[in-house]
Amino acid sequence: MELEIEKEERENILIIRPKGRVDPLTVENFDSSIKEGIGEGKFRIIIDCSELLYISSAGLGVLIGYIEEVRENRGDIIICCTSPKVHEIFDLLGFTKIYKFFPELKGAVAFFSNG
Amino acid sequence: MAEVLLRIPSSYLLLYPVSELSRKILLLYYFPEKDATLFSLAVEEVLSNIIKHSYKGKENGWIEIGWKVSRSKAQVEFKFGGTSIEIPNEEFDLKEYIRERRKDGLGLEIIKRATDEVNYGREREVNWWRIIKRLKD
Repeated sequence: MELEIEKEERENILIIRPKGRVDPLTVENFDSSIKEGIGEGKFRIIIDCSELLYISSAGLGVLIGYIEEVRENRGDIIICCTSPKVHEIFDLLGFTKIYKFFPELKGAVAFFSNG
Repeated sequence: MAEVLLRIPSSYLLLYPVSELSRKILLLYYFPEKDATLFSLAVEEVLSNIIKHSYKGKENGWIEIGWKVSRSKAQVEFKFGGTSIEIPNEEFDLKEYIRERRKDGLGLEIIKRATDEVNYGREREVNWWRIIKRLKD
């Protein structure tokens, strides 16, 4: 199974939409999409999980690797639109207590726009 | 009780098919969807660790996977060659991981949290890793 990454910019917010599975085979692609955004000075990032089927520990490691950097630059990585299965994975390691989660993209965008 | 035995090469391409097979075996034995899914995550992370650490990502290794599943308990035993795996016994703290930008050990934590029992050993050049999930009444 492959991973396709769709990127969108809205109100100076980078929306990253992984489609498929983030696992050891595809994690580089996911990592690059965030790294490139940060490299271009985009620190307000939404991971739209509406088409994410699975995220392994390797993918969770990517999110861990960048969160401090974006927060140091007055941004954040927030996560939206998780399926019950994907939400379970985030919840298992406590991500839902430390990262901000929104059920819909609209709410995630509003969080940045109002902040 | 069902017993299923599978031998696969150490390829990341097989992570998804094997974890999905595991999920479906547990569902056949009336495990709730949530338990079956969490256990399949553990199966995928065990395989991923074996391929990454024991076989250094190479596809020429072998892994034997044996399921023993009843209506109250699911057990999967993995046997494999390659080098042994170090399993640290430290407390997981996500905040500390974020502070230190650590990425290692997340898979092991998923395995621990998604199962009820995890055992690992090595005998005569063969490693074994066993995970168990019990259904609560």
